[in-house]
Amino acid sequence: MIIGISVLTGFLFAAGLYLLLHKSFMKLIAGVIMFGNACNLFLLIAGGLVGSQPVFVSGNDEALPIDNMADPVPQAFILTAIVISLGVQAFVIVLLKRVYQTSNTNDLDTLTNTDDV
Amino acid sequence: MFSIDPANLMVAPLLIFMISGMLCLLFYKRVDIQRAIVISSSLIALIAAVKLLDLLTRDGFVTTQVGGWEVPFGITLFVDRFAGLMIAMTALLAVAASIFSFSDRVLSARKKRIGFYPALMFMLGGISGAFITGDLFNLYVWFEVMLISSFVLITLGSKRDQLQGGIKYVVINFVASSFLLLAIAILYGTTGNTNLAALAASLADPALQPITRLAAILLLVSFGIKAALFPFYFWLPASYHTPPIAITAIVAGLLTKVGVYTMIRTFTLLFPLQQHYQLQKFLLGASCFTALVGVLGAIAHRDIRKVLAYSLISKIGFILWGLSVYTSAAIAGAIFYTLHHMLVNTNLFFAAGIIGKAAGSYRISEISGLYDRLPLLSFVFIMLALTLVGIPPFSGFWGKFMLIDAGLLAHEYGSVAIILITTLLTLYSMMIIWSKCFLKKQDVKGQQLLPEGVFIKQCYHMYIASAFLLIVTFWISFNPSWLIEYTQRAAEQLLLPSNYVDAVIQR
Repeated sequence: MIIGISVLTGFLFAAGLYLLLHKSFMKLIAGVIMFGNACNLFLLIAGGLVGSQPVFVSGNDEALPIDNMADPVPQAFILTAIVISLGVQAFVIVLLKRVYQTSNTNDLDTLTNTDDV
Repeated sequence: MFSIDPANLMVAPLLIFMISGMLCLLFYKRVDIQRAIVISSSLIALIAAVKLLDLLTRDGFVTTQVGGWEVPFGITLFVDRFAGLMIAMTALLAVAASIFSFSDRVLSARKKRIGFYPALMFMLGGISGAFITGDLFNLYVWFEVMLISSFVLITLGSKRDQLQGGIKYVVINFVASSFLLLAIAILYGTTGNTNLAALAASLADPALQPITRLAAILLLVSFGIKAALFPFYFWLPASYHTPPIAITAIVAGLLTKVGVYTMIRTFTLLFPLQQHYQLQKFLLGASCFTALVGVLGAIAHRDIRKVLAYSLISKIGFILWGLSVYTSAAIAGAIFYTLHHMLVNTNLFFAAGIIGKAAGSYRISEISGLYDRLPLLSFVFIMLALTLVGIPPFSGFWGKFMLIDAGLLAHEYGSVAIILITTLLTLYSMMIIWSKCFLKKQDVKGQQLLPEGVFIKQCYHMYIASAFLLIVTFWISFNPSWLIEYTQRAAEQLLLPSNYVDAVIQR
């Protein structure tokens, strides 16, 4: 499974980077989403996929056996990162819509107003 | 005199900025109440930061564990002298920027109604959080708080240029944050920690180096993008000149310096550069290029805001050059120069704002005769220009002297030469503005400038903010010994990372 997710992460990075570098607005949005998800998956794998049991304490204060327990820290990191990337993605989508309205173009290569000498 | 728990004092600026941001949101429609909240909270934060600085003179550091969790499990907060200086300077700039933004001439009343003050306060909160945190993942979270607020600030008002610059800014900073996340993933996977002190202790193990070196490079790229280091700086001149000048001034003064701060922190604590020879050489070359390319851009451009944005990049090169020389004296010089440059750079943008409002344009070719009509502004500008270039006895000279002296002692003659050439070219770029906008006589047939008396009455907030920062600059310039001594002690602290580790872990 680790190999499968690793390969998937690699593909997501490749696709995300390609779309980020693309000149179309829609593809930029897709790129931002894919790149963010690739980072989250990378966090999951790099944190180590150990165990499959969720981390819970049993109701009567007994410690559960820890040998098959998943590491909760990367999951907490990913949860935080997902929330943050949701905010960034929402901002990017609105930003690109406003750019489309004001500049009337769907091509990033034509947005050169800010680079004039 | 009542005493405050040092741990409370340390989080005070962060809490004050965050709470006042929320209060501003509550009074979303009432700009006058927001103004009162913003100026009073910035002043309180400044007082707290100065008190913290005083405390750090004696103790050297303050640290606490949020929620009382034991060390590697909870979030550590840690402030040493370097962080204390940065927090104090942030609060000082917050006061100046709030006064400056009160003027409706630099930031229209409409933009204040659509959320300028809440975004400013949350950005300052994020910056303070990034300075005090002792945990890498927590640093990522503060970075995002700061960045999302700055996205809002840069695109506030949705002018076409702002939005176009905004895309470049948002996307490149998104990639930089993702790189930080990747580095955190690698470091957590190899050591099982994100606490900076625990990480520093684990990373000393040479067996981990082949993997953690990848994390070091990712961190270098991530912070390099945020600090506008040489190959990664292109987003800065594309976006910084587009928003209203009050926003540009505070964003340009603070955001890149947070990148510089985290870079100095990372490469003294986690990956000390004397153990990472290739990184040191890369940083040395990249910072020299940053200094040169930045100043060449400043000479090439004909828009005052772009000239200042490029000269900002060039000075980032100076600071990171001080880090890459990696002696105690060089890092002290880098810290001094950072503080000096935060003051002067923000104030230069203030002055540019006044020029822009007085002459109605930011293009150098369309402005002339400022010296005849606006003598006070001319005084402020030439003082700032000379301070930026580093003419003695201004603060730029002391910072540059410390850097060059340290560079010569470390036998880095080639890069010292580049830094000195850069200084000369900075003088040239500033003198272009001085001679064309100020000294050149105004065309008689053209539109006449207002006399300065009338102009000051219209926008006295801008002059007050500029004068406030200029007085602080003068104070540092003519009384530099305490700050030099403070930065030297801060640099010694940074070069002994074992003290940081002991202070956090053995509590």
